[in-house]
Amino acid sequence: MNKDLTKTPGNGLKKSYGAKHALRNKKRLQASPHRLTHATYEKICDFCLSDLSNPTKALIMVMMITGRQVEHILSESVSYEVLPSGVGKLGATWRFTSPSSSIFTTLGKLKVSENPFITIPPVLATLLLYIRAARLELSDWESLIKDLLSGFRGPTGQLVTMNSLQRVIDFEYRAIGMPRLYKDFIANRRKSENMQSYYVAFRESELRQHYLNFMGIFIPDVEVAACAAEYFSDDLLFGSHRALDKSGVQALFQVIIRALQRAIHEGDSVRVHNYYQTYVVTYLQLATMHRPMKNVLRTIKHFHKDFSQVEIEDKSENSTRLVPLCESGRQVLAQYINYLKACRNRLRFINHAKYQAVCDMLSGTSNLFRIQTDSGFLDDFSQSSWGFDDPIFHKINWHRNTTATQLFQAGADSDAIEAFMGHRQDLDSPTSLFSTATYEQLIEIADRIDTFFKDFQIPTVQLPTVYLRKY
Amino acid sequence: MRERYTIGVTLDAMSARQNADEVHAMDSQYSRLIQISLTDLFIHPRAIVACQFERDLILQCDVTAVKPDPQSSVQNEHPVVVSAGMDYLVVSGWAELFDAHREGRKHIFVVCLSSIHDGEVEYLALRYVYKRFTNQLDDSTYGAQLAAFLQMCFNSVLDRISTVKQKTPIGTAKEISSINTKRIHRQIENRMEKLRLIIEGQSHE
Repeated sequence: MNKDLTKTPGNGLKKSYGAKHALRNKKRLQASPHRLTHATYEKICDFCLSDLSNPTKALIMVMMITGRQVEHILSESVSYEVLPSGVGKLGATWRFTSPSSSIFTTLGKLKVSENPFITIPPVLATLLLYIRAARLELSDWESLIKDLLSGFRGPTGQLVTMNSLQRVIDFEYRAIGMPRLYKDFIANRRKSENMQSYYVAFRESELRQHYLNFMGIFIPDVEVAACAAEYFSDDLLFGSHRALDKSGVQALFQVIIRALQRAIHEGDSVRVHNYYQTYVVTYLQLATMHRPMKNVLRTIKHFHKDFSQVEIEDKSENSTRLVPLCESGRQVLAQYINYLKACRNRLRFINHAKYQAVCDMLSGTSNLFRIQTDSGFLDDFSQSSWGFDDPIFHKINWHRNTTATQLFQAGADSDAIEAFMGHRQDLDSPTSLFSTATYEQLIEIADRIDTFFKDFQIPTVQLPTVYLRKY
Repeated sequence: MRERYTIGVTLDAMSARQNADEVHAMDSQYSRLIQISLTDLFIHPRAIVACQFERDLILQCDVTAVKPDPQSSVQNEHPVVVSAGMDYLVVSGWAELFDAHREGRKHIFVVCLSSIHDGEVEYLALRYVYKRFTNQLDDSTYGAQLAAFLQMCFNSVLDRISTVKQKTPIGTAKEISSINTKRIHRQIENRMEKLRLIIEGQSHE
């Protein structure tokens, strides 16, 4: 529909307001008058399922139960197969890249399938196979569907269009408690539409359960049961390839801690600073889902209310956010501040330039995290020969993926995770009059992060007294 | 802001505070007791290793237990410095310097040498650290000795000199030294026993 609006020839007004219309359509609530009624659903289903010898009707049903565009149902780039049980496996266009680095490749990661899919009930699966094999032009299929729907009206006279069929899932996913991420995946929406999709690895079994609940609105129970009976694997995951598992996170922290222990043993205070700082930054990035960047977490002034909140500016203005810092994160940060104060006292009469740099870090006139060299401090957290040069410490975005995945799989509210990550939905914009997001939801996420840290047994570092003494 | 107040103490006057060997190391050159701003003081590059080593030593007691006295113009020790352009470089006696910083003092009295060979600096710095080691109290009776000192001043000046005061001298000793109370009691008993033996030995004679 949005595409149609922008492409309508000879209508300059529609063209210029296309983007606004698209936004308005996206914001439509379930109560929208554009939503098809359940009576209309029933009529469509009766109309299509009563005569499945007509492939166009089968295609309409597939559109309705998947929310996908015809293009994405028939595309050759989307895999499709029918299993011996008669259930179909329809692939998706979502692709996830796997970063590589000498450390990252060795760490334990969640095993995520390269070929994510959704199931198609047996009553439609074989027909879809024939439809795809027919190799008609996409425009031909669209014409056939439009022709078939042209005279179709719901019981109350509702007009049924291709767009309204694809948007059924947009109106119904809330009603059945389906997370937005699953809806986006089933309907094969663009990953960038709700950015969270980039970061989360999710279980196929949970996805299927939600999908079957949705499918149950339209098709007979026996068909839903057939899909439910299909067994793939309890551990089958789709989505992000960057989420580390428990052993991976622990191993990464051990890399940092071993380097820190060596530096402490050798009495190399410069390296102690850099490795300890890397530990703190990594911990806080996991706790806040901060993107890796040179001026990570910026200055001490970006922390508020006794370090219980942090203002994150890690990408563009759109992703700037104020999020609560979990309790364990506050403790790690508090120890880092104490360390900096001790460091300042140590350097007071020894190196004025370094002393001044630490004063600046503590007063908020420079970044809070700065790599130390023999002669001074760099302006930011640019890892170099003085720290770790592996991309996992400054480039690979595994923190957001790991935390978001653990929170999502633990059942945290996906919209709250999204707000925490700075992926602002139009309806969830904190300043919006119609905002549904509250800060309490973010505090709940922070509490869940504490639980996740406990479950993962993320090691805590206690520096020797000499690095924390106040004199 | 550079501030300097020459008190006019010569080598002779200073010798009352400084060790005789140290004076010899200064090669009998002119020295002055001056008051300067903390911002003008830095550890001499050749003394940094010794200084950092000494600063990293793990102390038995909490040094912040000594109450700061910003009103007092009398220092217990005076860092030894050498002039280097606009700044002064500390070659030994830096403990008072860090105390002054911790207590928030702006100025400090230092003994300023007119000049010193670079080779001498390392010697003086390391010697200063060595002296601090050799001045340590006996480890096995440390708690008892500390408690005895606290007992001595518990009802007089302890409030003025200490930031820590518990109900008893032993409790105070435990608080600032982290030595177990039982251990302090045992040390006191051992100390008394030794004293008793010494007294008995004397009486036999």
